[in-house]
Amino acid sequence: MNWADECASALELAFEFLVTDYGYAVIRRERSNEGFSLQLGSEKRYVSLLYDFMEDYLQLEIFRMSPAEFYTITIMEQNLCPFSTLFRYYEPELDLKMLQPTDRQCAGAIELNAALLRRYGDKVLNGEEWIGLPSVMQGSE
Amino acid sequence: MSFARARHHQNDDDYRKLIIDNGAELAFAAPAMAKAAGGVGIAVAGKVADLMRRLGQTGGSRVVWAPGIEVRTSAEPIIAERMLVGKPDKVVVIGRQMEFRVKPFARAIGAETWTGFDIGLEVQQNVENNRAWAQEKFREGYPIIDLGLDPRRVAAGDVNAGLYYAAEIEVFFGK
Repeated sequence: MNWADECASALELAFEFLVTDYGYAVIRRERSNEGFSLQLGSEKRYVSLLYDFMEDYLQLEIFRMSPAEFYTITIMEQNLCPFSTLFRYYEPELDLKMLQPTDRQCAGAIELNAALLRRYGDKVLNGEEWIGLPSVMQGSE
Repeated sequence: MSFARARHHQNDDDYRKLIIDNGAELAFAAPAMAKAAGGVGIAVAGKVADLMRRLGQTGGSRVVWAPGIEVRTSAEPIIAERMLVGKPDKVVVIGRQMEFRVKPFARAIGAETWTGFDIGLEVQQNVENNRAWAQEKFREGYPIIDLGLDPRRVAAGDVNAGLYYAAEIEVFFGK
């Protein structure tokens, strides 16, 4: 198994709790030459997990909308919560570099993202709260 | 359902009419074709290439402009920021974020993009291979559609071009 496969497996395993604990369903699972993406959704939220092999970059996001709903960039920005935004809301001093892989070593970053999502994301994942981008209104649903 | 449409927000009056005319054609033709073909497909790519070639002939040289061509292959719009007019019928698409943006956009309009990434190579070698591919396309005079940065990453505070996209825009646009 190469580093890309290992990272894809680690990403899927680390966020399995979205299925087991929150009842999310897998909407899309795709492994390509350039990355691995997994999208999981509930009625009120969907989570997009992407490991970008080319850029050695984790793009992890929660959306307050249906993945089938057509939208504009503005609507996307109003309904997008990158994991880093959620974590920084509760931990303003969090070093965002820790959330990203280094030299194709992804396990630590993936586990940290998953742990912080478990710690801070419960209400957001359940659709009871929304933490949006800093320029967008936040609060209860 | 996928569709593509063209808007008009370029500067030069000589090009404005062509773009508006062809943009309208694209805007009206694309949804019907998308419905019929289940995607945007080659027909629209042909129109894009033809439009770019005509603009290039009108200007007598390569021209950079921003047609605002928009493609949807999923819920999220992928919007072109600028184009480099070229001669071949084939079009090259560049931009940040290959998986969700560049590849779907290129597929939708039947265009090419760099597919040479090799997980077995070091980053720098991959970037150099990407640059060499871009230089070859530039020498051959391909029209280029530049999708720019990924709005989702920008929203998250990442406004960098990244190594690969930076190499491509350096080759095609000089910065």
